[in-house]
Amino acid sequence: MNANLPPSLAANPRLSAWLRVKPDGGVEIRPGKVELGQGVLTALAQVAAEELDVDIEQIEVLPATTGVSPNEGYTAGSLSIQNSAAALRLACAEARSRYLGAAAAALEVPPEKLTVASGLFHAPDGRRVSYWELADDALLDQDATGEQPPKPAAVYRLVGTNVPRLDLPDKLTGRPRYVHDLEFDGLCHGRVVRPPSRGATLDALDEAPARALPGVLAVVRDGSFVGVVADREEIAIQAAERLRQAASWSRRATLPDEEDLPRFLVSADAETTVLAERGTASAADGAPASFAATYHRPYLAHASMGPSSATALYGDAAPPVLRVWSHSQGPYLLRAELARALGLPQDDITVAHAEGAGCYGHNGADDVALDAALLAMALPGRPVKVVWSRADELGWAPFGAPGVVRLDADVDSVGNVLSWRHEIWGNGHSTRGGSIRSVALLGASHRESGSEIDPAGEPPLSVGGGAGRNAVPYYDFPAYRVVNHRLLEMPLRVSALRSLGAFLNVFAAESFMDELAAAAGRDPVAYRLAQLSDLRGRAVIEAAARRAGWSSWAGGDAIGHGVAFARYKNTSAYCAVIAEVEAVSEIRVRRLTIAVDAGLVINPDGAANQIEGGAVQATSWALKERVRFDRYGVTSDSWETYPILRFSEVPAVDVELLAGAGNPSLGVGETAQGPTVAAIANAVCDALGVRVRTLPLSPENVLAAMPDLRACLVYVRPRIALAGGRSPRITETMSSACLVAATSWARKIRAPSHAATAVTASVPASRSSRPTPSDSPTKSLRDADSSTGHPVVIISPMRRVISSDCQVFFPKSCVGSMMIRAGSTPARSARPARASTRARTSAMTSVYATRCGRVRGSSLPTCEHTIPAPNSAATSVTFGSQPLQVSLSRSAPASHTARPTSCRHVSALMTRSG
Amino acid sequence: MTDASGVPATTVVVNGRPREVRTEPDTALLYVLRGHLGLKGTRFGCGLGLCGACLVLVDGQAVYSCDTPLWSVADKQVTTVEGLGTPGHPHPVTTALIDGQAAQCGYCMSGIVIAAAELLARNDDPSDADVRAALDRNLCRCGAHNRIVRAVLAAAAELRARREGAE
Repeated sequence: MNANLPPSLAANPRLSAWLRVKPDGGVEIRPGKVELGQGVLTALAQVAAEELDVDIEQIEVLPATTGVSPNEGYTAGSLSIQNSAAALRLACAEARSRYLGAAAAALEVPPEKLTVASGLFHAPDGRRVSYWELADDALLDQDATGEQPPKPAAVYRLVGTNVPRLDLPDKLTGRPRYVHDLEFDGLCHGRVVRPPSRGATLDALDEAPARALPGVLAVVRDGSFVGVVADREEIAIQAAERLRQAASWSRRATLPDEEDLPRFLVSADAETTVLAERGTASAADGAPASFAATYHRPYLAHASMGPSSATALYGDAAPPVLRVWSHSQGPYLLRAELARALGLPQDDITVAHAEGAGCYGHNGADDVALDAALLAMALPGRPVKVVWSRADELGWAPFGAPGVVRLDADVDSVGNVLSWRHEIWGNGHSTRGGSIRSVALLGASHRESGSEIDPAGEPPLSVGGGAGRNAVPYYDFPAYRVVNHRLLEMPLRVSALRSLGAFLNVFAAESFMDELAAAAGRDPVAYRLAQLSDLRGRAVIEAAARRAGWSSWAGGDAIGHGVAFARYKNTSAYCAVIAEVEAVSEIRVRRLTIAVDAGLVINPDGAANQIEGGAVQATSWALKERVRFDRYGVTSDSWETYPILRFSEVPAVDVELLAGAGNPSLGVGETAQGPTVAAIANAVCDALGVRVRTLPLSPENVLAAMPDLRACLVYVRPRIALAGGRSPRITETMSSACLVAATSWARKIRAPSHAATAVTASVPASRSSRPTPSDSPTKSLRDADSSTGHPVVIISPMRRVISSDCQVFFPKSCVGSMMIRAGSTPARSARPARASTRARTSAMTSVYATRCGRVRGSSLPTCEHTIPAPNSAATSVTFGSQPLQVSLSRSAPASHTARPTSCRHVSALMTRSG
Repeated sequence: MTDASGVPATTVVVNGRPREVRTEPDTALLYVLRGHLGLKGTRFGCGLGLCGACLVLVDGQAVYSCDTPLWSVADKQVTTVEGLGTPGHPHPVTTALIDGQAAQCGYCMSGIVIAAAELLARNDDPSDADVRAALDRNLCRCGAHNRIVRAVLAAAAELRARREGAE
């Protein structure tokens, strides 16, 4: 193996594995990387066309297929441009040189006299010959030597330009293109019935109701794996539902308490490793000051827009061959995993890649391939297509791993860091096939012969790390120590989610940098630059600061800006983000300004697209996302229970790509995630004076970080019912939190206040009076408007609001009395407004029942509630179409302590000693 | 396909052509389009009318085809993304999205094209906020939102220019 070749080329040295000149015109390139929607195939086509001197239209890209394309492992880690482009560049340069020799011989002209353009070799006298006229597979049936230098960047015509995505026209005009769209003769449709919760086992299953549907072809049951195949998709879905109803399971509580996740993470059995160390990093005697803080992130869902899908065909000829079409990130690794799961030789399986929706890491793509294969093996000769349900994609695909990070730093007299300790608790970040001992596919773990999926390991930092990714500081700290506690149990399966451990590590480290800067009274940008000598790192920070107008920032009430920087994996692309946030009634990111240095960029617009997309996704993670679960299973399995950022919530994003300056190409898909969340958290602190160390930056978590009463939350949940007394399907819509009290919320009070505080919120009656379209009886009852996050009351001919639950949350430290007034329309309903009481406890706040009724002399129903102890009240008021007004007055002085409000989170305020 | 004896036939006009479909009348329109009529452009995202990937126009109004039974569109004009414009004359929204490279994985885009086409049919001069509000029922996970909004605004400008040119 030639050690000078890039890794992919060294592993697949035969030139003919990478490209083929077609006698009927064009060049077929065969990268082992796959299109995830990130534009990689277009970029690779640019590289190939550049080196070969053909037009981009003359390049055809073959989707990766086992046995044909080179094995380039997983398309992951932001390594495609680095590895695959490097391999293709050299392979194509060498192919051009071989064809140049053949052209020279054909034209009887020395090779150095030929020029090459648009696939044609031109002799000085005007004669010419094309690649395809010379097409000869033997020319490329040689191993790459790596000795043909590629084109110098100075003469590039294609690389570095914004070649439009080759796949987008199909996708934007609705032409069949995705793995979901594949058609085959005899295609039938499969669905799998997943267990109702983790650790559940199937006790009994009555297949008869499902089999009674017309067109059901097979029911598969193997241990707790249950699936069905039908000739029509709608029948398969119904049959699966009938199987679900007819199944009985034994359930076990195997999950931790979701409100106590940080404590679980720091106390579960773990393997402790020192990942990196420099100098003596323990707390130094005599250091002027020491600080510590702890940060936490929850499980996150990949939440792919298109659920995972695969088609499998198990041949009915001997030896049986299994063919699979999948959007897996690693066709060869999937093939190996399928072979293990099914007991088939790898050579009897082919996996061909077909494009899926964005996966952002290890989602359900590999799992569904096994589902399809298991069902296909019950129907030899019939291709079986399986599409996961939304609930399965959100509830059963692997999640991004939660974690706790504690940071300790000793600083000198001006606040510069002397020593830095970074300690991580959590699972490893990859349970992909090939990285764990057990079979990595979900269906295998449910079969009779199956075993639980192993917890993830931790790859070394030298290959990028997992939980430890970006835990080693990139600043010039004299001493540091990075310790990882890798959990040995994995209650919910986790695997690679875009940026892996870097998301939490950069959130923590860059939040902590701001906390240290604040303690030293220094500007956050200047504080970072003072401790960063890497020129490229400095350049992105300075570029972002300049572009965002950092030094001329005017600020304002409840408006803040924040900065963050990281070099992804400490070896990949550099990224600095400046976030502008407003926090009047909710956290709203107004703008992200991003500067990235990725070296030589193949397709600048494609890179900017990826950077912006990663930042918007990270904004959604930062503000909204958290996988929900009870002791048995995941409960956030729909877009209502796992909301993501919507169009009206997306910030403006401004991306600056720094000039490549001859530096090697670096991938940009994951560079913005960590800096974006940290910049937002820092901006929130700038806006509110509140340091939030728990993600997401939801109203509850912001509130929990406040040591005194600054604001409270009002949730309004409309309940909807059909008019006319029909038995309604009442759908409780997403509660929307409206942060109350713009006045006190905006003030950056640092000292506890003992004054009585009056707080008022007006909740608009409805966002619009747009009539709903004519509904079918099967149309579920929900309010489309509530998805924007604003409280809504729906009025329509079909529906009538019957009640609204109003919950008000206070920080625990608040004591006093509260009054809730609800407006109603006396003219509309003859009945007086009713109020009912409800009691519920949650970990963050306690909800007290209210006693409500009419107050004499008032035409409005009011509720009076005394809070002898923390900290909230709930009331349910029936009303029509009038605004709901909530006023809260505290008549007794607040008695509270300066301790943090949440004792369940593992957190520590900044401690200052010395 | 199952022997269709006993299964009623429903005629539905899709992209201007009447099509006969033999399936249970309460089959969701999404599966009729994708499975029975071979129109793959309309996408399954959630099956609950919460993500917008399955949006189609029924008599010019955007509806969630995953939650619309076949019988309810029997006498109506259904327009899918394939029916908005032609390869030779694509809908201005489609052209603007391609020109602006306003997509990444593209899975959400069919529903967005439909929602945007509906918006521009009733409002030829939407503001940035109008476009965002109209697209609030469409989810995009890749983060292409801002490019999409710019493209829809560009398409609106193009439609206005054509209208003025025609006057």
